[in-house]
Amino acid sequence: MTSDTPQSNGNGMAEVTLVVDGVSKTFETNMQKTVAALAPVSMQINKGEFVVFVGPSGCGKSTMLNLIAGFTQPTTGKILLDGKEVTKPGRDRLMMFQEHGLFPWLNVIDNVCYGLKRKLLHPRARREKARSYLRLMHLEEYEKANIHELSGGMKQRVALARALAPDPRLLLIDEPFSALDTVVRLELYAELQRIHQETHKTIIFVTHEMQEAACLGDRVMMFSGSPGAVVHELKIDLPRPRNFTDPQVQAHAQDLISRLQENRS
Amino acid sequence: MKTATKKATWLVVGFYFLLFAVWQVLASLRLAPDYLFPSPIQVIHRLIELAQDHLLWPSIKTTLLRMVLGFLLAAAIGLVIGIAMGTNWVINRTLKSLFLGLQMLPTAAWVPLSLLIFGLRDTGFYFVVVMSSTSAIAIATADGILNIPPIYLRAARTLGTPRWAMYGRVIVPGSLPNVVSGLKLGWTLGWHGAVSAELIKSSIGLGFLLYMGRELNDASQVIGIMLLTIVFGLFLDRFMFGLIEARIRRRWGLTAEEDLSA
Repeated sequence: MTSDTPQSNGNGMAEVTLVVDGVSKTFETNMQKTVAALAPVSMQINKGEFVVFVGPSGCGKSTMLNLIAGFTQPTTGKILLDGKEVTKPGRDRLMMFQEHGLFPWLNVIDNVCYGLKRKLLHPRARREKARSYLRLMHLEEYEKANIHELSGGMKQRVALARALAPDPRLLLIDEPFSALDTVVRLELYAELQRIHQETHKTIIFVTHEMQEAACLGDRVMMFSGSPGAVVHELKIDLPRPRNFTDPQVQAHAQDLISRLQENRS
Repeated sequence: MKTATKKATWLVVGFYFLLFAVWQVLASLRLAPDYLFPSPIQVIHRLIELAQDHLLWPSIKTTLLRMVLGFLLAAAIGLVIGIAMGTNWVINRTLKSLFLGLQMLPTAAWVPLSLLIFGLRDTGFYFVVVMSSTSAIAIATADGILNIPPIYLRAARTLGTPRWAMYGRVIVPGSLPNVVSGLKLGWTLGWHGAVSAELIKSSIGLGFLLYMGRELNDASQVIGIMLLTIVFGLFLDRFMFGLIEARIRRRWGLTAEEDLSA
């Protein structure tokens, strides 16, 4: 089954940032075996949109994210960011990982500085910019701290500050909260929505949790099957900031769950 | 924390005091003649005699100089080969077995070959030190690089690190803890090699004083020089690597040495 291209994106004025055009991915495992991870998928993502890729593990959602990040190359099709083809990783499409991926040999502020262009910015200007993103995440007191001294939630907030600092066109987030406890997660849902509203960043967020998807996304794209494809798309027009436990969020989550069950049977 | 460190220091001082006290008591019991089993006081006395004869300090200086130069050479070669091994699997596969094999050789086993090739020239010492410590440094460096969690490389790439800058910004700092342990091991092995070489082919140096002690049937001198070899090897290890190791431990949050015994 091939995917359906999104026909209507709500407001027709929206500026398209990312175009995925018939992208599929086949992996070579051993000598001769090949595994199709992703059937041809097409989609468009608008500037400032918060899109969530959701689906069971092995559905191709992370494969799609890695392709957009440029870590792997599509077998067929192409990916365009602002009309330019994606061929390798770069700071215009910054990725945030499930494990924070902060460098333990740098302290907090040096981690945030890391992605800022060295040639263009004076070291003091880089630090000032990094500091402003730490302030955005309420972490300014911890700029000199070592990474191992932070809690799990703080590490992910530093990782978010590090990903935001180079001002990427697209923020790619791969199940970043799955290792955190519930209270910290709820805090971070609110934080992420606030950041989205303040910075108007285009965000692609990958998760396997329907409630998380319903709480965060402007648009949820459900991946399923093997090879993976987009089987369902849901626009969520709830006001922000949304509460994770809000009945309307729950209702959308329930809708997503039943859709997924339909697609699996 | 601070009181714990202080306590540990006193513990160590007390331990050595006790060790020397037991040695002194055993020696004064005269279970063996004192030319075979001297007391610590006799050993120290002999070391002072050697110092007064202007033999001790020049020997220490010579050994340290040979060692430091040889070690710097070994570190340079070992790091370059280690980085090549860590970033190219063909080089790693082929050289790793060779270097593991070379490590099976006792460091003293390089001395005869060194004599054959270089005769009594000083170059021979550097040869022994380099052959003794290079493989340990190279293997530790390669392992350090190969054990860098892939997520650091992915994070660096998404943050726009060009390929050429990966070495300086991720591979070197990410492998540093392993590399420093490798350098420490290399230092120890090189120190073995340097003293072994002097034992056989020198007219000066700590190894030579050991050899001379045996020729003179002087157990005090042999034991005294052995002690100095330990003390200077350890002192330089701490001096060169102590600070950088402490820094890495603090930054990365690795277990402190004291915690292991606690």
